[in-house]
Amino acid sequence: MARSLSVSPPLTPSGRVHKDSAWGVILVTPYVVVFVCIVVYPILYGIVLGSHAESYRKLFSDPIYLRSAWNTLVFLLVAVNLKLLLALFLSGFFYNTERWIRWVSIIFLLPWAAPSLPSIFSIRWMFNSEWGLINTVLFRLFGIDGPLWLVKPDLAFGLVIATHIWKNLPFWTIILLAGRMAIPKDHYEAADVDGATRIQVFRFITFPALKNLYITSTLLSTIWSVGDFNSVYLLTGGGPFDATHVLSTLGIRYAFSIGDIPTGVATVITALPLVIPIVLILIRRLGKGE
Amino acid sequence: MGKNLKVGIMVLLVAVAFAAAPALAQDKLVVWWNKSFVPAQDDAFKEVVQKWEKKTGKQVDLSFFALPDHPAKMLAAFDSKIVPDVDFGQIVNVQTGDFAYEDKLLEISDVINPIRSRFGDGALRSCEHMNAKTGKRGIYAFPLMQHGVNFHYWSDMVQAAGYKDADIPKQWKPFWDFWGEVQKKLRAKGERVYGLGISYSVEATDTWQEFYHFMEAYRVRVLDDDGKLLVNDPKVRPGLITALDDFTRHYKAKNVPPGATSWKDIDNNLNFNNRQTVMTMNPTLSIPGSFFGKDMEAYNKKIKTLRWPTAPDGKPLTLRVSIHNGFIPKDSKNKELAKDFVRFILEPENLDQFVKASNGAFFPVLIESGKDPFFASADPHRAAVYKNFTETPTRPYDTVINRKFITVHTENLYGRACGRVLADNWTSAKAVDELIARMKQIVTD
Repeated sequence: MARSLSVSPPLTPSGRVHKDSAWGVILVTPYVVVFVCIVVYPILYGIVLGSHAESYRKLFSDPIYLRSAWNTLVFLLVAVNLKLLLALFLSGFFYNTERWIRWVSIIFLLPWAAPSLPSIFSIRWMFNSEWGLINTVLFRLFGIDGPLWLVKPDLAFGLVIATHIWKNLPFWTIILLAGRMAIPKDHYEAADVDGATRIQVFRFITFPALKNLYITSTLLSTIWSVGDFNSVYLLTGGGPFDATHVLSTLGIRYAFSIGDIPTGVATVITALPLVIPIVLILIRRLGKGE
Repeated sequence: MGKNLKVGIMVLLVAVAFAAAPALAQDKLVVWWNKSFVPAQDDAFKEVVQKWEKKTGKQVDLSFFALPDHPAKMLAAFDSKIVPDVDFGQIVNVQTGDFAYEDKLLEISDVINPIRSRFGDGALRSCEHMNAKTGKRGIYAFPLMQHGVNFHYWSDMVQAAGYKDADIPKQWKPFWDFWGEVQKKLRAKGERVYGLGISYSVEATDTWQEFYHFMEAYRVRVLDDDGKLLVNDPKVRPGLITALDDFTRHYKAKNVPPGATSWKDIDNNLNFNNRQTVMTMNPTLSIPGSFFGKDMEAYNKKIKTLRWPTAPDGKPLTLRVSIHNGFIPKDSKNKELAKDFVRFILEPENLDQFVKASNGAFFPVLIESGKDPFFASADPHRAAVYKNFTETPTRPYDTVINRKFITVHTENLYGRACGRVLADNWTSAKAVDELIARMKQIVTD
């Protein structure tokens, strides 16, 4: 049977728009207006701002850009994968029902629940090379000055990744824990009867059941992490000597420190070739119900 | 009256109220102002505003913005053309020359010219900028206050190291080396301190402000008085290399906290206030000012403010000064009212009230006000600044004579050169070559 492709509102015998359809239009209008104002317009405006060829010429000739692009890539590969891998294993730990583990889980959630500003500033102060808690303790105990945590670019960037993981690990652990809890218990009971080892249980029951959730979480986390501004900006500010910038903080540096908004927008636009394919893969997976 | 009519009238009233709201708001003068490190200065400005409101019967919608937040706010305002009527921001005003060039500011020579004689030459010059649209220079800003770079040290720490205040050398090299010796003596006693607080980061404006003085010490200038780039002069490159070598040698000698390569503007204050550094350079008197009223022993006895040592050639060096200006955006809805407000705050009585409330962190731009005993003699810290401004040659930073140097400063090319030497282990010569190349690119763009 042929399906009607008509999208016109159904008409009454008198030719007027059906009352229900009119209500539909009225109810959807605020959503469309809000969507146009806060999604479509900013995106189009951003594209207009970031459409100057001069901005890209300036950007690609700046050595800080290449370093920031590299940092962004490393950040995404290391931070996202390490975080999800840790979350996968920790979800197994929190799957246990002992009372003390429940208490530990509450403490474990705190970094995610705490606002970024005070928590990341606390880390920054702890790792301050001169008067931070860690190096002060090292000096008092051993008379040494301690590592230059936020001074050496590689060490500082390592701390940025660690901070991102520390802050976001609880969320992804809960997501994967929810996934584990959805696995039917009789699968484990059957494996127990068959004498399966813990590794075999993980390999043949847990991981296959969590695989799709794990991949979807990784894709989603990658998209979110491209825009993680706080971990870098609040911990190192992109320093020392602009060596720990990622594209999101470099964009802000151009736009508001240097006052060049088009180049700031262009910086962020250069991350789109990385983000758009991931978004497309994610939408496709979700469309398939994976 | 029918139900539909009642609803119609209500809708009409609401619409009228909404339509009138912007008009009512336009009657208010919108002022965006820099949030001071010293709360009393904000209070003093509020009082000046209240006096103007009382005098004119007009209202002011006053907002204070913290230093780092203000530039983003102002750039967004220019972009949207929804601007304040008057703006002053300590970081925003670094870009005043660009805003004037892009025809975003109101020309206010009718406000400044009648009172020109009140101001020093540097202050006036800092307000004059080129407008690309009109092709003419004009007065696009109004001066409020100024500051130089000062030295502060903990006198009690110097004494703990076995020295007296009078032992501090007044010649260039011995002066800088002295703080390394103090550090050695204090470290030998088990104290985890550093002799010097110098900023080397690209994040801190302190870095370029301090480096300028090392350039002045070695008689190096990259711009002449007309704003022409001098880097092709055969004396400039070697001079820059010497200045950079000297500037960075203190970090290499480990006489500066290692974190100084990633300091923000506040961090040299914090390190000094926490007694991690014995001596620090700092624009404004905000360091002793932060102790005023809280720890008067520290303010009066422990912390001392020094004058600059003589340059390596034995003569005084020219001190660079930063002049803080406000402006009226061209798209202001209340241009005449804004001008009246600016005229009012530039009255000596009002401007002095505002500048003095910083507890002397800033120095007046009004010639007569600078002679006030409050600045000249009433306080040891302010007196040192007074002498710097009155007994030493001074010169505004290069942004005043060449707008392109705003980019040199915002990109912090001098800080980046420090980074090349200290983080990437480049020679000073290689770092200076990169600095010169980028400077030429910026100026010719």
